[in-house]
Amino acid sequence: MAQAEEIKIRKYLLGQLTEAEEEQVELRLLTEPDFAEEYDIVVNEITDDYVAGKFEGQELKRVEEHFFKATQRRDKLKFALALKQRKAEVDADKTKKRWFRPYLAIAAALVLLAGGGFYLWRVSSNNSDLNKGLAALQAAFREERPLEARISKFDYAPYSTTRGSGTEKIEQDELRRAELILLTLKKNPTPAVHYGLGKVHLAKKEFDQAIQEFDEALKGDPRNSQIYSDLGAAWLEKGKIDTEKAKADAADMTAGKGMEELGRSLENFNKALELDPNLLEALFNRALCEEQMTLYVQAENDWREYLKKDQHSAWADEGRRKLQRLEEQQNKKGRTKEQLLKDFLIAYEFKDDDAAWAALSLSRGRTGNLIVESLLDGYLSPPAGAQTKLAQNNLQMISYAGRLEEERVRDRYTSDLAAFYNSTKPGDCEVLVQARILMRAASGRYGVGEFDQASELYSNAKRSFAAAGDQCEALFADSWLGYCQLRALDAEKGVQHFEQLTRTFEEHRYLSLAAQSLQALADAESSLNELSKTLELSNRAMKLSEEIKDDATTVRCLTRLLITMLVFGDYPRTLQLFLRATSLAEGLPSDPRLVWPIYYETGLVFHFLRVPSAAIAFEEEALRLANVANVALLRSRSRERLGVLLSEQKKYEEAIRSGKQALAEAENVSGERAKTNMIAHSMLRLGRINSQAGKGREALSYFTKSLELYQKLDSKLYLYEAHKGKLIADLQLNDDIAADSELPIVIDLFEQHRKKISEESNRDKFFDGGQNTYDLAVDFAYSRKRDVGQAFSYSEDSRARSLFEMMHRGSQIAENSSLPEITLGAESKPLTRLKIQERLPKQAQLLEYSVLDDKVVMWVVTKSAIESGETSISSDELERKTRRYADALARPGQTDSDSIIRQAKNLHARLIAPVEKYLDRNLVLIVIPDKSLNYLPFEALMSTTSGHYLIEDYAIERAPSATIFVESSEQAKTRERGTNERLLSVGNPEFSRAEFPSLPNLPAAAREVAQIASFYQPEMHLVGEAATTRRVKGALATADVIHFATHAVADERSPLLSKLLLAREPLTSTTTAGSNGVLPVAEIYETKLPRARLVVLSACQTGIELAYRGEGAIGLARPFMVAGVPLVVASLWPVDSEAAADLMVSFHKHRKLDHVSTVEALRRAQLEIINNHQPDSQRNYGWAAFTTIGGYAAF
Amino acid sequence: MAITLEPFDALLAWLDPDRDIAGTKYETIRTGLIRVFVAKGFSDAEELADEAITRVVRRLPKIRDTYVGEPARYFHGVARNLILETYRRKEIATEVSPVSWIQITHRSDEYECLMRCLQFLTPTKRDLILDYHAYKGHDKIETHQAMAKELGISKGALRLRALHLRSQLEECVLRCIENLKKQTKGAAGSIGDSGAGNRSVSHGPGRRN
Repeated sequence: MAQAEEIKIRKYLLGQLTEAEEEQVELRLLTEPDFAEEYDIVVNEITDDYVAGKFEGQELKRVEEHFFKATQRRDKLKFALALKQRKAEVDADKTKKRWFRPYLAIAAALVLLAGGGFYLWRVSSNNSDLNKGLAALQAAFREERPLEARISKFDYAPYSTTRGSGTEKIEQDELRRAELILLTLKKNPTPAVHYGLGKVHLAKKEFDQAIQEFDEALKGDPRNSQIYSDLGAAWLEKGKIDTEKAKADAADMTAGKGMEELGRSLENFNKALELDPNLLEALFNRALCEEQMTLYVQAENDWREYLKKDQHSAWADEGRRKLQRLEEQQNKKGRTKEQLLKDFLIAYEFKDDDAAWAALSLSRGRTGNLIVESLLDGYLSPPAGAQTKLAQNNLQMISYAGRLEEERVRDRYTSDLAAFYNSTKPGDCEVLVQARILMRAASGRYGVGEFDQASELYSNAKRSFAAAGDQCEALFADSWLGYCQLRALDAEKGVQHFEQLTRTFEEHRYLSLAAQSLQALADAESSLNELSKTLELSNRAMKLSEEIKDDATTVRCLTRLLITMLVFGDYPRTLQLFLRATSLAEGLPSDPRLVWPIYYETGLVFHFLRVPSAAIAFEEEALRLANVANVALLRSRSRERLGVLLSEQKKYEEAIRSGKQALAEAENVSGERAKTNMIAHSMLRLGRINSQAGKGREALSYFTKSLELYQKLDSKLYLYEAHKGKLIADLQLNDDIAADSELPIVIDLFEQHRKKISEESNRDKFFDGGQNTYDLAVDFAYSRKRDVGQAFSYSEDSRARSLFEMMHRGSQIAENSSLPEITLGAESKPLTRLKIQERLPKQAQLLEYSVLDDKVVMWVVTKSAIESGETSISSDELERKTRRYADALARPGQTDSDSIIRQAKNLHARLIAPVEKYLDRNLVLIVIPDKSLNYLPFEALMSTTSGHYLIEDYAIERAPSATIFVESSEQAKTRERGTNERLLSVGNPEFSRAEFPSLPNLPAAAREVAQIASFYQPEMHLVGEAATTRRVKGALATADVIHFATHAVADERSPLLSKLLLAREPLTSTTTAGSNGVLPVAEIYETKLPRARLVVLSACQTGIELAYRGEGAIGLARPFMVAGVPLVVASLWPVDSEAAADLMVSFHKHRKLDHVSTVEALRRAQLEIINNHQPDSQRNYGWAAFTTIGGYAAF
Repeated sequence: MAITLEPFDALLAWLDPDRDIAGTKYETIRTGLIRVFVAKGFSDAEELADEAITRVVRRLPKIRDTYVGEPARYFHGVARNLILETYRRKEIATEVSPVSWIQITHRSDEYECLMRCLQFLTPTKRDLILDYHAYKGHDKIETHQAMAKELGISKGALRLRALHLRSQLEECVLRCIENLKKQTKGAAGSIGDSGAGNRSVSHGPGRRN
């Protein structure tokens, strides 16, 4: 009996069907004995499920009040309870386990409760049993606690990190008892029960379930500080596990996820302490969490705070130990310059090369190698009385350092330096001493931001070194001239300078300097918004610095990568980079300036991840580091960032105060250009804060001043942000004229990024984050200017640009990083509105959507007209509705039919009705969705007036943009070659079960292709073992129609790693490694299919894997479009294999026998299912999952 | 209300010219009606089913020649009306106690009778019925899968086997309880003497869902 029928019977029995549906069930009961038998089975199952405690909430109520209303059913219940009791006794006898005996009575009672429960018990005894359960839970861990974090109300028990199996000191009996009691109570799921169950899961380290239960508990008890504390503990322990993974594998992205989880943990501890500042568990846990997040000083402060509140408990002893360890660690962390020198001297004395190299390698930095510099100073200016001996000794040590450096990492700088000084005549030394004095003076000026003076001093030093023949130090001084150019905001000169220097350093094999130079080059490119170049250079620099074990440079590279990934919106990777950078920095001599940007930028990541507590905590740490470094520039940046975060939390007064402090700090920055730059930046942030506070006039003033200052500096880095801020302020002030002139500037600046980001995924993410720029433009043109055409053009300009670029220029996969990446050009411009209308096939009408914050704008475009409509709905609400509807269709039986119909009508009323009067039923309707609408099956929307599905009234397909639709339509035209189509169909390949053990066999897919094949001539259908990668690839190029009925496997690391499963090649001597039984998406992107006119992807969710704002849906259909296929039939969600097979056979039958187009054939197949629906069967919406994507085609 | 033989014959003839087929159809309709009434919460479902059949029999002479369609549909219409009538009648009916109050102890009739009736089953069947229905909260699917595998049959076949076994056992338990009640009232009775699964002949299977 089909599962759908079972579900229907179940609903009938629970009184969840409409009258008409009930009638269908009842008639079958009166006529079909088999159905009646199935019905009896379901009655038994519901009874048993009730006894097993599987119902909750409303459903439980229905069962109790509706299902068990008749005496017959109650008799059945009694029977089931008796059965359950008997079973429990039989089991108990069988197992005879020691643990069960003392609790036999309890367990038997529990069985009864699980089966029937009883009302009075619930009311009066619920709490006492809950307490019993919790007491048992605590008793289970009385010898040793399960987690490092504190679980609320648990007595102290030590925590051991070295336990063997992890269970030896746990009282299993008690744990089981606790679980039994609480699971039984779940029949009446109060917040306290959810909370208790959450604790059980937490203690059992089932963190996801714990989080779920705590979240449920908070819904009913939102001000319970203990729940927040325990929820935080669950996130903390989960985060710890995930971040630990990074230690084993630096490329493991779980680490980033772990940091995010730790952030969520902190959020919950803060909430708990907000509700109850004396909640010791939360304070204890927060200190643990902060330590884990490398917020050591905050952790120390929290331990001190904790010990003030709890001085004598065992918990306090543990806290004291942790504080002591933290303090010791802080003291040990990072050897000082003096310590490193001492280490080196001892190592030299004992000829311990490893120890000497360890000290040397940690001493490298942008200011040179601290040990070598110190030795050189000693050589050039030895203390009186020990000149010759000490000088000679120092020189020998420098030579030794040079030899080690060359031997260990093949860097020649120190050895060349030693060679030079070994050959120096005594008379030259004075010149060199003076040059080094100039270097120190320059460094002092640089440190306070006086870059012009610093530059002059470095220049003089460079000349002196060169005059004395010291090429090494002359080049070193030259690199500092480059840093001055960068700090003085002359990025273009900086690029030229460091390009030249990099080459020179590489030629001389001055590898540490080469890595630093590459990194400086990356910084320079970043200042010019050349994000892809930045990425490439940082990666090169990092590779080199890692090779030569120059950790300080590696930390700088990681910081730059972190900032770039932040711009791209790749937060997990950013957090992963944070962990790597901080872990490396901890081993280096303490340098607050080196780590400040890591914390500063990571705070912003947490802000974007909507974890405000962590964001503030990181920014506070950055501010602390800025204060330790005593650099006004860093203090100013930290203050303004805190202002922005406070403003996001709507704490506008505090935000503005912080912003003004930042401005005041900026005034203290030394050096005119640096100061102006900082003032401009602070004003930019103050503009944003004021804008958010609704102070449009003040915002406009700050943005305008900021812009003026940036123009004065001729700096382009923040121009886009400043102009965009000004545009928003103009709109706030209803100054349409100013906004109208600002808008093209903003769009132009925004679009410049397209050329500067060449990796597809980064570009898509960047434009996803910035899509609101285009949304602002659409809204302004539509709502303020009432220019429908202009609004459409803005919408179109933001759509599927990467896809269009690839369709035009092809795509190249770069494999130089850990994940494959498509490298893109940026030459393809979308068509103008007039061109779109001119080239639009006369049989088509476009329906393009733009989902804005508070409304959806829609345009109907035909060859001769453009009309528009709108619907008021927030983008969040629309997303909820869309997801809910798509989910309901994807999971038949989970939502009742009435609700589905209501949703279908509601969405139709919002998305179709406003423009329905402009739609022509004789034309194909091309839907161009936006944002969440990419997931919506438009075909299944239902008219409120006619009750028709949209597919009943229109032939529908979808396209990523109007431009792509036009291009694909023209592509289709070139592939019209009569009706004699060559078919390649692939069904149920014998894929690797070992690699994909969870995927089922697809016998229906084999049937599907066999039946489809009968409609085509010539045809090739490859099934089972015959459907090998080699055969399929070989046949792709010559097929007109390609049909895949197999598994599609998405890869969450990158859509380019997703694949269609095929059969492995049989193992022979000629089998290559590439014959691996898959067709990877990356390969399809690089393929050209000059003949294929249609690809059908009869697999799971091939139409959409993920969706970016702007770029739209990314799925398996996309690479085929890039490969030149004008039409792709794909699915929006996973569909039952049998249903998909039936639909596909019907689709091809209509296509070939009715001689209709692909779109019409799919429509007929879908209508067939709609019209042939058996009134008394569960409605299946598998048909709505399939859609045609691409252009208009006659075939 | 009893149905006399002649109209009953007429009813069977209306259901199908072949008397055997008609008999089967009658059984299906009657048990179906009982299931419907139970589903609607009526404890006197059998009486209501008989009442519905009686009404159809009574109207049969008038509709026999004109009614088009499946006779079961007519029965269903009558049953629906009966449900509405009965609902109206029972509007002020006393509430029964909440189902969650039900409890079973070792002294319960149900438990005692179950113990007795289980003795009539082979050990294999006894294990099957206990294992199949009395799973723990979350491992129903796993339990059933493992059982089907162990028995070497499909899950569907196992479901049916369990249903039939349970029906037998339930019937035995019900009869046993009736007998126990009679005993407490001083009337002697025995259990299991008619064999688990025997059903009354005149009105077909006694209890349906």
